[in-house]
Amino acid sequence: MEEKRTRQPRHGIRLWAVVFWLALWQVAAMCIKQEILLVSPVLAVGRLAQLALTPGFWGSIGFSLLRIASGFLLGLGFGVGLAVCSALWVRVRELLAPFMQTAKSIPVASFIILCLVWISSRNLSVFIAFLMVLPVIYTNTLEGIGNMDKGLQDMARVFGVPAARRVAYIYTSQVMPYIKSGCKISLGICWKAGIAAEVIGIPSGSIGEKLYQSKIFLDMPDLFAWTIVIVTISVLFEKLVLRLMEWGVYAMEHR
Amino acid sequence: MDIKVRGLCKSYGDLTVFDHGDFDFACGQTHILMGESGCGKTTLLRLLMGLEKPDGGTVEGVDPGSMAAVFQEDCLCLNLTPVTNVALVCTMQGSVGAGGGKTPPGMALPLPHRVRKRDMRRNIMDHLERVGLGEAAFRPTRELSGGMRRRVAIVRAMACGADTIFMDEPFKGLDEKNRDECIAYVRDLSAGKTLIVVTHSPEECELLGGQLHHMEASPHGQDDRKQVTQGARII
Repeated sequence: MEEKRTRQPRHGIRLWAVVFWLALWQVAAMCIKQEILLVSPVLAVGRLAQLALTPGFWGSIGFSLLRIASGFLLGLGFGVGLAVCSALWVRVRELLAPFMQTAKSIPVASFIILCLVWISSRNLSVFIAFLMVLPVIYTNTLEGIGNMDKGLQDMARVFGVPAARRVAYIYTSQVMPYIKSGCKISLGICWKAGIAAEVIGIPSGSIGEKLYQSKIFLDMPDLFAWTIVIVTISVLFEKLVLRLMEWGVYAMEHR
Repeated sequence: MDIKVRGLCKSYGDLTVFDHGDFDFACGQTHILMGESGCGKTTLLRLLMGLEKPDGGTVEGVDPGSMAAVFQEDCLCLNLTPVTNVALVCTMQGSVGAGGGKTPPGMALPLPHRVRKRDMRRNIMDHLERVGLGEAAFRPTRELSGGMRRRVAIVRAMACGADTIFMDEPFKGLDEKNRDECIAYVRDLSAGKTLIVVTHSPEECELLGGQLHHMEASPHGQDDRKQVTQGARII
C-alpha cells in the first residue's frame, strides 16, 4: 500500500500518446486533403526514407550535428566553469550577471543577425548554440552550488577531505541534478537556435539550408521530413548526453 | 596537547551564547559535555572544530589535520555506500587507509605505505561489522535506516585515525543493543585519543566513562552567561 501511495508519476513520453498524436495528424491531413497545407505522417516518413538514400542527407546531418553539438559542449564547459568561478569569487559573479541576463533576454533572431556580421555562416550555429546554452547552464550550476548541503561541506572541512575527493564524491553528485536539468532545457533550445541560425545564414550542406530550400519551393514533404530528422537527432543527442553524464558520475564515484 | 579555550565569546544577534568562557579538555581523554538544550554545547563543538568563528577569545590545541566528528545530523553522502563514505575520509595518518604506526588498537594490522584499495575496504568492513553493518556495507546509504546511518557516521569518525574526535549526540536514535555495541566500539578505539561527546543521557555517560563537564547558566543570574562545572571522573 505504502509503495502505491508514494509512487511518482512517470513523466517520460508514452507510446500510446505518440500513436494518438500521429493518428490525429493523419486524420487532419486526410480531412484537409491538400499536401501543400499539411503533409500526412505517412507521406513525410516516406519522403524521409527517400531522402535517406540521397548522398547529401547524411552529410547535412553530420554538418549540423557537429556544429550544434560543439556549441552545446562549449556552452556546457564554459557554463560550469564560469559558475564555479562565480561561486568562488563574488566579483566574477557580479561581472557576469549583466552578460548572462542580456544573453537570456535578447531574441535569438537578433543574435543571429548580429553575429552574421562577425562570424562566417558556416560556423554561426556553433556560436549561437553556445550562446543559448551558456546562461542556462551557468544559472543552473550556480544555483546547484548555492544549494549544496552545508552539513556535507562542514564534514569535508572537519575531516580534511582533499579537494579532488570533495569534487568527485561530494560536490559533483549534489550539483549534477542542476546541471542535468540545465542540459535538458538548453539542449532543446540549442537545436532550435542552431537550426534557425542555419536557416538565416544558409551555410551550404546544412540542415538549415535544406529547410530554407523547402520553404522557397514550398516543398512540404521535404520540410516535414527534415523536421522529423531535427526532432529525432535532438532527442537522441539529449538522451546520449544525459546518459553520458550519469555514467560519468557513476564512474567517478565507483573508481 | 590539551585543548585550551580562553575568553571565548560568541553571540548570534542579541543572543549571547558565550561570554568570556574558559574551558580545558585534557589530551588523550574522554570528555562528556552535558547540559540543558540550547545552553551552547553544539556551538562549543563547532567553535572547537573551527566551523564557527568566535567573536573573541582563543582556541588552542586542536590539530585541524587530525579531527573527526559525528555531527547532530549524519552528514553522509547518501548516494555512496557506507564503505565509500568511510573511505572518503580515510586520508589521515593512522586511518584504516594509511600506513604508519597509529593503526587503531585491535583493528587493522600495520599496513604498508601504499595500501591497496582492497585492503582498505577489508579494514573498513571490519569496522562496519563491529557495529552490525556488515550486510549493509555495499548498499547505497540512502537505503539505510536512520539508526544504520548513525552507525556509519560513528564508524567514519572512529576509522579515520583522527587524534581528536567530536561527537554531538552520537547515539541518538539507536536502540539499546546497538547503542551499547557502538559505545563499546567507541570506547575501544578512543584509547589515547581526545574524545569530546555531547549527550543528554546519564546512561551513555556512565558507559563511555571519562571526565564529565556540565554546562549550565551562570549562578549570578545572568541567563546568557554559561559556565562549565568540571565534575568527577566517571570510570
